[in-house]
Amino acid sequence: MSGVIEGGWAFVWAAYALTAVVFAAYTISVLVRYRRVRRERPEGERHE
Amino acid sequence: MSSTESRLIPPEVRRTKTPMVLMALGIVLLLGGSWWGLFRAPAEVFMGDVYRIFYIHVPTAWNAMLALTFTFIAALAYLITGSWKWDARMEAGIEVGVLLSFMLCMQGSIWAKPTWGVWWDWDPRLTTTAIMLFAFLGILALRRFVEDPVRRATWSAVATVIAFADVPIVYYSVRWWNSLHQMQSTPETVSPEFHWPLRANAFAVLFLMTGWIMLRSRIAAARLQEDLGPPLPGIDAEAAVARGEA
Repeated sequence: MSGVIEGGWAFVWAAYALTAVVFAAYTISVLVRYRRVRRERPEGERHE
Repeated sequence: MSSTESRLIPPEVRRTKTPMVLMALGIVLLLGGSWWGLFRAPAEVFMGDVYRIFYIHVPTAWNAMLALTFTFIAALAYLITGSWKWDARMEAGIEVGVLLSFMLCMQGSIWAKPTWGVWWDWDPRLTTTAIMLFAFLGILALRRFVEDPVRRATWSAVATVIAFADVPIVYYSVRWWNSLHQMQSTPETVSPEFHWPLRANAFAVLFLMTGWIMLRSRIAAARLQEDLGPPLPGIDAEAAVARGEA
């Protein structure tokens, strides 16, 4: 036994994959909700 | 809705380029920083390759606390000024802060299993973090169930000020008590080889968080506009905007 944790790449990939999925999902969610709010406004109110 | 009423939405609420650019920059930096942390940075002396979760866990933790600090400032600003834009920002900050706090618990749990042998432990850092997550989740639930906008804003602002007391406790818990969790990550406690990918990911999550809060504030402001309705007869809407009341 070397005293160093060996392997563990499955845990590393799990953490990164979960983070990527959640961050991507939230980004899409915010964009979709924002676009929906903009669509609900009549044309004359939209400004960029 | 008239053009006067549309000016109740501050100009910065209508622009979307800045949050889009920030989110895009955040994604690019996160991909680069993660690649560096996963494939180029050396293994850690005791944790081997498992430590690489650090490059996503620590930036998430820092930015979760930053988002909740922003929320605290927005809550105070609303209570002092009564300006609705601060209520919108507070709502956005709470949602993003809860998301990041939840992710920080998930990432930490995945890291804990191979290093501590358990998915969870009731040590001071983890316990105070769980309290922080559930406190702000409770405020989000409160906002969903209170329909009157003035009560919703005031109650959630007061609750945010109270809940924020836990944020510095989370940060200092590893110093004040005997915790399984390692000390705060600073240039003194982290080897130089690990600094750059950590900084890249920290800024990446910061840019993402800022873009999210900006867009989410706009959504909250739009909802507020529906809740508040058109100005009453006799009230000068443009003067109200100039006074910062809308």
